[in-house]
Amino acid sequence: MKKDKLAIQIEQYFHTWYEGLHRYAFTILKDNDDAKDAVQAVFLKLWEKRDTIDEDQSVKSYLYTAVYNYCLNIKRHDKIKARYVSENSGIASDPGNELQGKEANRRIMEQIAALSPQCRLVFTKSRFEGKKYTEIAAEMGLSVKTVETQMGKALKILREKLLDLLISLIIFFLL
Amino acid sequence: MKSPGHIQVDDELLAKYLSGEASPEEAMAVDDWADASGSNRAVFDQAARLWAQTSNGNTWQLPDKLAVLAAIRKTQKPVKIASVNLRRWSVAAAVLLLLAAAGFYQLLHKTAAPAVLQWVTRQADNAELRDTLPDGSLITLSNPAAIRYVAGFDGNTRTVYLTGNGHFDVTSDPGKPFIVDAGDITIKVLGTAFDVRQDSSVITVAVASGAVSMYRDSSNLTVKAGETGIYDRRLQQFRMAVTDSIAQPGGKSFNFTNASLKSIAAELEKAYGIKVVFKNKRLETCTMSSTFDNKSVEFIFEVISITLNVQYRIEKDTVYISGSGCN
Repeated sequence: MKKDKLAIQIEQYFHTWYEGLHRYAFTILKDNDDAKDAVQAVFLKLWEKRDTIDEDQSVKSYLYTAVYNYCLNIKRHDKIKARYVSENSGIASDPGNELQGKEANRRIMEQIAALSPQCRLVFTKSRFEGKKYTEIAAEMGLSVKTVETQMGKALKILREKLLDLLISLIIFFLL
Repeated sequence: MKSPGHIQVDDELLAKYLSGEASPEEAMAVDDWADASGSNRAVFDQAARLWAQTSNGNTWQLPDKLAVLAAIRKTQKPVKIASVNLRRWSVAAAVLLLLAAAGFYQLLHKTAAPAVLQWVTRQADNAELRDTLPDGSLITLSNPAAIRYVAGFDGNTRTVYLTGNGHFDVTSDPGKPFIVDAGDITIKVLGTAFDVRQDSSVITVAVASGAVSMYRDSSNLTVKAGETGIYDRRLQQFRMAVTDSIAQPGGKSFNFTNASLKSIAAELEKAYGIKVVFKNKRLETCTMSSTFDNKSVEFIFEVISITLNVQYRIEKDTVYISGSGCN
């Protein structure tokens, strides 16, 4: 039956792209449950439109675009922002090993402080003050492109300086 | 439409993606790139880890995929009506159910499966209860308070019956007004955030954003963001109050906008019972903007020190701030 074939096909899409879509939604909404709701809603919509599916690549594009639009729409309601600020985890430290967490934080803060002034300021405003690129650009009198460049620079330097730390944290996280 | 192959994935794009600034095409390019090789995936994970470690919010966690899949599969079948706990509202609810059933008979006539009006009761038992309503609106109830509403918000309005105090964050839906029925008065909103407080003499509605209308019979009062409307139960009249800020529910929260370090220190001293000593008086005039909600003293000073390039040292209840100057 065509219906079963479509159901199987959509489940295939789910297994292939769910993680990427959820992570994408999370980067926009900054909340795991909201991201979960967003991706679920988008897949339900896909199911409703299942008769119009033609090829895999356009479905992938559709899913990412739909998630993006859905998330932006949610953000416009502003309540997400309020919850993001109120959900507390401090500077994230992995549970179970407080000492490692504190040392890791110290090293990360140290490297952030060592960034060049403009780079550090942009990175700080983004990560610690939760500001969007356009907000940072307006505040600092920079172009959005410059903000993008500075953020990339910060990531590159921090990744290099903290490589051993980030790798060990990943292993620790997986345990 | 750009094909993902034309997008260069570098640290700049990774940072953009992790910051939630990527377009759908860019997000697809990042995912394709990460899937392309083990070393790409490793770089992605390192970057993600760095973001997780410098976050002052949630860290990403993949939900239970099978549970989500099951939920999606379920929608491909007819919906099962969940049973509801009526508790002390059982008498009123039963009466309302009968009235509602009669009123909804026309609608039921058309649907394939018969639907019964379900009432949901939420009651604050401990200090505070947060709930998400069927339309995505958020409410926070402080003990003792309770709300009652129709599951799924069926009907032309989204009506919530409130006893006690509640804070509402209402999603916008112009076609379906959100109504809070507080007994003596009703409050009608379109999309907004506001606080309802009541005692034996007054009901007050403080609006944080958007606007609401308070109604009783033929009289009403429109309350806009930053204003507080008051209903006087004895005089049976509406009036406006003067207000400058809405109290945040729960804990120590701060919202600094271009605040001097001196004023920030004063607020922290008051809130946490600490003492802040400036080793260099010039640092008092440094300014910064940030929001902190239920954060520790250490965390707040970490952020201050990074933002302003100052150093701090905490000894017992005193924080010493030093440095040669700031940005």
